[in-house]
Amino acid sequence: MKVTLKSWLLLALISCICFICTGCWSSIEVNDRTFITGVYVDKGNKPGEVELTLTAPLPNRLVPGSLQGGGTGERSYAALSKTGKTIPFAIQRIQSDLTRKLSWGHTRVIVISRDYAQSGITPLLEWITRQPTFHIKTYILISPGKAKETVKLTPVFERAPSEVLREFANQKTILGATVRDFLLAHYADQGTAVSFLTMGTMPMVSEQGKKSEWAGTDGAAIFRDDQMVGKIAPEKARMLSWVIKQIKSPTFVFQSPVDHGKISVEFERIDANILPKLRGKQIVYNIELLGDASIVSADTKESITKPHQWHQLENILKKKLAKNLKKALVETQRLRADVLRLGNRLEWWYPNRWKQVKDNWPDVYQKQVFFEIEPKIYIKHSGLEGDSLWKFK
Amino acid sequence: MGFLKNWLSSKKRTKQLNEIAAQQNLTATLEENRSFLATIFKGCSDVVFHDFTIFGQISAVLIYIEGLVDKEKLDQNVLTPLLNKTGEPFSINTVSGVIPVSNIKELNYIEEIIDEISNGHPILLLDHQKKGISLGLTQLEHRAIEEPPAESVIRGPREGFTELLTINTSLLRRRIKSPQLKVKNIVVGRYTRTKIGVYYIEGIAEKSLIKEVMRRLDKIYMDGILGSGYIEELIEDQSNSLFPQILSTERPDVVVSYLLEGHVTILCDGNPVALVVPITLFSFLQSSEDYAQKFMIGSLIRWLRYISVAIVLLLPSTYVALLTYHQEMIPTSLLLTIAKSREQIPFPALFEALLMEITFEALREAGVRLPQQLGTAISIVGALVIGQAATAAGLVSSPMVMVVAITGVASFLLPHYPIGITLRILRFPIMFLAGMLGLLGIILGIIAIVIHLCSLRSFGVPYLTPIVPMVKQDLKDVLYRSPIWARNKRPHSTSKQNPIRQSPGQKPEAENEEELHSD
Repeated sequence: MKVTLKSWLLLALISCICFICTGCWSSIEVNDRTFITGVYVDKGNKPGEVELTLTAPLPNRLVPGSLQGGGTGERSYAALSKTGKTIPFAIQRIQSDLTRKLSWGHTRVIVISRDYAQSGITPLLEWITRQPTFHIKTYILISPGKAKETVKLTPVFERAPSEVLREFANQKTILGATVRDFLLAHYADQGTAVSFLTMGTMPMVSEQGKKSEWAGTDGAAIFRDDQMVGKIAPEKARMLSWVIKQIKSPTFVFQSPVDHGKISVEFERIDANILPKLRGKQIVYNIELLGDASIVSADTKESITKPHQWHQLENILKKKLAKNLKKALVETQRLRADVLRLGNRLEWWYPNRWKQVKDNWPDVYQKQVFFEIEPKIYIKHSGLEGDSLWKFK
Repeated sequence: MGFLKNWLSSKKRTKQLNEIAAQQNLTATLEENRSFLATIFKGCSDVVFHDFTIFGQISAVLIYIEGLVDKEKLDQNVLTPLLNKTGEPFSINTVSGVIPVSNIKELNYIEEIIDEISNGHPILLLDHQKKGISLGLTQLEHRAIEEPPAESVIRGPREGFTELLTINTSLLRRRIKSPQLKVKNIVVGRYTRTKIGVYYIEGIAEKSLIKEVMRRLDKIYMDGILGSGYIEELIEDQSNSLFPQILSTERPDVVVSYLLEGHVTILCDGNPVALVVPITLFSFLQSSEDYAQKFMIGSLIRWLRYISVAIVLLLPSTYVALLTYHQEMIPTSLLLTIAKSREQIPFPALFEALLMEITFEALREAGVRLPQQLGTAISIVGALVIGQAATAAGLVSSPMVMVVAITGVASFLLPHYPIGITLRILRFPIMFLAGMLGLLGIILGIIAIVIHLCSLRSFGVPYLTPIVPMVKQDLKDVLYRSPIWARNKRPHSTSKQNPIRQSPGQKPEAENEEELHSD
């Protein structure tokens, strides 16, 4: 091929277009940015206003090799707070006080106060979906009081409070509902279950015995579309996270059949299958709970190693799990929030039926949906011993 | 018009003495021949004219260049018998009969005589004879056969080519004992008269390829050829390309392996570097060492090389692009570490990368050119520049030092110097593109390189064979190093007419295991 003048001109033109039109002139060096790791949303003091708090790590205070801030006891992260009529307005007010440009690419957790959640989080989601760099994998959590208070949480094992919360979700100790879940729920008028945080103070050895803020989880907040409509207890929330496979090696305690000794089992593998069936007007969901457990402690004088006793234990456990899950589902029906997004399964298996019911799905979910729960639980190990060593004393 | 052009161009060339003498015959008088050659070699004090009388009857002259001739043998084998024997009947046959020298040629033309003298062959001219006798008593000072430092191996022959074409030819002939190994010699360079050898195996190499190589070599007409680099640049398909289209090597075993696959090799007198054509990009990423180890190890090392090509070309630019445009793609904890180390750095990432890469290239070039005694000094300075000191000075961040160091290590993995230098140069434009357009720029750069590579050919063979165009059977030497027993066919692109290399089913099997154990 001959390289002619024309082709050179064409190449020059194409490169010009690339330089001008791609919008990539927005190069910003790392040290001109601040990376927001956590967003905390509260209702403002005036009605209709929103209070936004952002946390960002301070790289200049991070000491490589050590997790906590500098030797002087300085915190290696900053929290900035401003109120505004809308979220972008609040952000703009924060930005105007800053020397560095806010960057949303590393936001991993959003904490929403209960008040704000109850009034609906539509403005927040609307803003997030428009940000090109915002990961929709970002976790959403609900705080009982002001979300801003969560910032005070003492990060003992991690570098910053937002990292603590993110790790909670990563380790699947809580229901890791993400922005994506909310968007999916929004499109089909379904619901989302979100972990509900609880804050408290307790003396911590690592902080020289000072009373420090500590966060834990307390059940789940139930959202219908993007509005918080209720809250369920931890035990039920745990069963919901089982069904959406958002839980890792949960431990359950139940009582032995005769002397009511406490037996604890830990699940090594959990799974769930959901299959909808149509039964006249009713939509019946068959939920199979699958799991392999091992006994981690059996504080009972009974023998538990014979096959029929073993199966007896399995049955007790099955009943307990089924009961808790049933309670949780009934609760969500009462709140008309399809947090397991069962509507999608209906659409997959019976698209025609879905077309009929999708317009008033919350009502259908409440009235026409029934559940059949089939736990298929196997206790596979008894740990290093069979019957309790203390059994014969 | 055509005539005028020819006349003008012929005017431009200054006529050479040997051109004047080109077709001139020797005359029958010794005095005439001697004086003619004396005028030609006027001012060459190293040319010796030794007059004497043969058998006491006929005057003769021995002409040679001092230093190129084995004088001891000349005295013993030529002068002694010619001076001592007297009374024998004289003829040119008796003269050559009494000289115990194997390499004797009779010459008729002045041009031939000049060539022979210049090549170090003594010439014997006799009175009343229209012929001269050339005696092959050359003694050229040369370097011993050593291991080529640029292509050292752990397991493999340690021999390398030297500067003498005859020795190099013998190195090849020692490895290929078949008469099918053919050598064609041509002489180029008006002043240097450099001898060039073209080697191929008849029956494997394609005739059209040999013809093309000879055609391109014949086209060369210039003052002098100082090395195989000259030839490479004169016979390349695309001289404007950064990519080498001819493989250069100093190892006879590498040349032999290519000859056996139907390639043609060009060796040039006075230079230890052989040229192999045609060649593909992937040949530059193979080393003879691959075949000295087991095929699994060879394959893995080959892949390590492919990865290092990607690193050399793309790592610094990817780092720049991610840091300036795509921070959200870096894991948070890694980004915080980088952000921390970049906190004090006054330069943008692109400038930082350029600074370090250019320094590294400069250091490397300095290390190659400097004598070995100074090499240690350079490495000390290098360790300071690309190391803790650079970070401590606050000019560059430590992740950037790591990036440059990894790139440097990866560039040392490339077995052939020319392709290494090409890739090292190409990473700079890609770095600029990354600094201006981010990942988009890197992709544009890669696309441009791939388009260019697709357009390249080396003596008619597409540069990216066997990937583009796809030749399935040849992929076995690109995607992995195939076991020796599985290489039943020669590469498709160079030996189409004679594809079978070996008989199939040579994989060693323990058929007679029982027999072995019964002993």
